[in-house]
Amino acid sequence: MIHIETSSGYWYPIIMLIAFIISWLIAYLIWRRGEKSYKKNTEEDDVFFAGNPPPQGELAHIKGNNLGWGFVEALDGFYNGMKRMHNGIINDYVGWFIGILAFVLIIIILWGGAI
Amino acid sequence: MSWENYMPYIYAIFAPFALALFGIIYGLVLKGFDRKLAAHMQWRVGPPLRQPFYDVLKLFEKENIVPKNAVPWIFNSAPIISMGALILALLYLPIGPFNPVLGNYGDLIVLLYILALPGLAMMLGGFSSSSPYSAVGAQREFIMILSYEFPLAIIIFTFAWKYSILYPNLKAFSLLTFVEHPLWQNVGILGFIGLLILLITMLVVTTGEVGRMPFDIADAGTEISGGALLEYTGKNLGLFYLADAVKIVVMGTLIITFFFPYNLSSLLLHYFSLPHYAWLTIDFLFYLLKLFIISFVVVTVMRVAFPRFRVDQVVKFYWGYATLASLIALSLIVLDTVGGV
Amino acid sequence: MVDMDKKVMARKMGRLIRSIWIFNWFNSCGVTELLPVVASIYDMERFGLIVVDNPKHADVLIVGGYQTEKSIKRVIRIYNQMPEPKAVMALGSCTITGGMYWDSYNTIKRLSDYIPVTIYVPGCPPRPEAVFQAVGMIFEHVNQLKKEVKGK
Repeated sequence: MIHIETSSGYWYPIIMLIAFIISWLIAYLIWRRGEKSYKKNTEEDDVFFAGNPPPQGELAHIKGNNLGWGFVEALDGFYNGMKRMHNGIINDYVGWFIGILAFVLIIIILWGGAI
Repeated sequence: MSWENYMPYIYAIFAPFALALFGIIYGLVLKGFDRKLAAHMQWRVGPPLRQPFYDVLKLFEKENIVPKNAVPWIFNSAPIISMGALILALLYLPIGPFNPVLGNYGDLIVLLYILALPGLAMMLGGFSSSSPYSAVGAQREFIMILSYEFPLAIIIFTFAWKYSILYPNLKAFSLLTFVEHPLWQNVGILGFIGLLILLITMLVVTTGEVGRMPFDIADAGTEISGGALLEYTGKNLGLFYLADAVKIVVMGTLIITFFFPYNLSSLLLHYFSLPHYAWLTIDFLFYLLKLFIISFVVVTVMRVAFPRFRVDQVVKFYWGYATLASLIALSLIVLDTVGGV
Repeated sequence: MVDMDKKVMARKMGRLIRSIWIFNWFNSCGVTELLPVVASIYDMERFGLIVVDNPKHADVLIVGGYQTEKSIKRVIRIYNQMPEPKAVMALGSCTITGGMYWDSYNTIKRLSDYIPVTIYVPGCPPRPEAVFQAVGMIFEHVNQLKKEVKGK
């Protein structure tokens, strides 16, 4: 049997695949028992937009930058620090680059390259 | 090849039916208890215990609307993916006294990936339904997944690390190891405190994972009117309803496996002598009781006691407090092990 | 629901009345007495009635109070967006005759001119008991339907 085995875990993909197909089949069989008709191309299959006519085209799309809002708002201390670092001055970026390179070199010299 | 070699395939084919039946029925019963007890806490009488069954039967009688601009095959397959993944997760989990059906053929890492699928399916459904509200809900679901997976991963790796130190010969990520060797007896006082903190974190993570009240930002009714589930009607919504019920069983079983894998039979074996099947029945009923208590704490108490968090509060809660708590617990357990108390 | 077979309809309605999910549409005082129905004294969840977030999940649309020329457009769209089988409960005298706004220039006098209303609940505003009586009448109606089907 094809499988991955390490000292702490294991995985048999083919058995998982079989079980997955059977599970999906069960879900599909349950799903099939339901009513399937609806009135196509009437107002019924418009999306719900609080009773207003649904927005069309570009207006209906939600921009992806909303996705990060929660993180930016919650971790604003971190993000503000990062924003201050990205000030657009090329000398600062090169300075960061050289500084971190020097830091890495010092570590390599101290440990002799072997970790 | 002998007969034995075909056993896993036979298990993989026939076990899902039994486990799906168990998961759906007990999940709906737990949902009924949840609604009844929540009603009692609010000084109401509440619906009959079989109300979730009525709800599902009704939902399967309603029309199944697919929005005009939706992608029908993704829209319709999202609830099926969600439900299938949860049935599959039950196969890798120990159900009470019974060992996991596929316990020898997949470990905790596999389970972790399977458990991410229902949330992803909900996201897919939300994005494919072409509704602005659903898109917002799907994005929030994504934020939820990113938030709670982090502390959950720390909890799982803490356990695996401890097991790899305690039992170097066993597979540290195997759920069979978890069931056979409960961790509480094997740690000192510091480790005990660490485990308690991990338990509380795990309970909070579970509430987020099942998407219930303080963390239900993804389908917040009063904000985005249903979120990712908004456009779902009829049998699609019914299947999501069932998946929601099974999810509580899955996550509750995961907590039981981690923290309370005890059976009554090993405790009472010295006082009574009963046939094997009687012990199995007692252990199974005990498992159902444990599951009920966990569902009561994780779902009912939380949803009655706390109002909904804002999106950024959820992120702050999981990435800040829950992660911090689990890291403290991890360092306590490491200290306990290294110190050799 | 008109073209449905009576037997199918009895089965569907029998399942429907056991778990009625309600979407509230109200923009006036007609609904004030509906709030105690949800709360602990009257507790409509006893009968499986809960309030849901949007019309796509709902079985019953409750229209509370008078509707204006503008809001009736939304009511019609929301009614059309609900999946079948569905019903409409109209609360208050305003939905029947226009009530105290009978001579206003922009209110809707009779709701059933616009959407098919299943049941009217009179009152200004109707008491919770009246709402429960309406629900009980629906239950009674469905039970009658089931008996008819069984008798055949």
